[in-house]
Amino acid sequence: MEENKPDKQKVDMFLMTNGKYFESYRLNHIRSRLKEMDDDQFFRVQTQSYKDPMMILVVSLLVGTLGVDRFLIGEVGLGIAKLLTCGGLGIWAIVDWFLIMGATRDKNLERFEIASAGY
Amino acid sequence: MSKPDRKFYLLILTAIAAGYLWLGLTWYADSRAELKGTEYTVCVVKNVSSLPCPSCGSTRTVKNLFLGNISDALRINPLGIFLALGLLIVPVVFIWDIISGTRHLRHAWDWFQIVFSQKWVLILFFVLITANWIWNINKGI
Repeated sequence: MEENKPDKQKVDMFLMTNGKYFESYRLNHIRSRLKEMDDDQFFRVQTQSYKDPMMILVVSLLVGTLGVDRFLIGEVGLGIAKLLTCGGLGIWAIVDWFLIMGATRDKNLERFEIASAGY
Repeated sequence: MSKPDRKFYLLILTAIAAGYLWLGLTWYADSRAELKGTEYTVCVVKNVSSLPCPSCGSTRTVKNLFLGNISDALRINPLGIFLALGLLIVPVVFIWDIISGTRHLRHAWDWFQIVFSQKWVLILFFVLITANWIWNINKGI
């Protein structure tokens, strides 16, 4: 139904407040999805909690060796592996300084898709 | 093999290779007479704060397990047991998966993530890790 779709203002508001949580090349896709959502989906997507990539980067820089950064974005398996191997012998800890923001944004997109699908 | 599966199996291969490479390096370093007795560590936590992290000592444990000294191994760091088991079992399942086209490793990983995402499992895990960490500090690893 046409009246259930969010208006342009709401869509733009969402993108303005939450744009930083996603990879910039995904924003177009997100915008198209938002325009086609009904009220319930839009609500779920708005109330979903997303992780701030900058904060996760700070965590990674400080205690990345213990895998806390991976745990925080919900990647439990990788977090445990990182913890057990002392940050992958230190090498993985350093590599993650460069990878973790992208990983956070990918996980945020996952949360977005799950919220819109209603699981 | 699908793209995410290929990425996963490549990561597993890298991890196992890195693990054995590391073991080989420490074995070599330990066998050089002039290096004997020198303390070295890759642990950022230990290098910065001189306190060991929860997994410090696991390399020594794995080495001891591979040599058969089980009691020594348990005493140094129990986490090394999981690493040793991983280093032994994962390559076997990896080769099996590649040859027979199954995805046992992938399924095991997914199952592992699901189990460990539950709150009580995570809490128990962190309690055990912290206990092990305190023990590490007390032992002066």
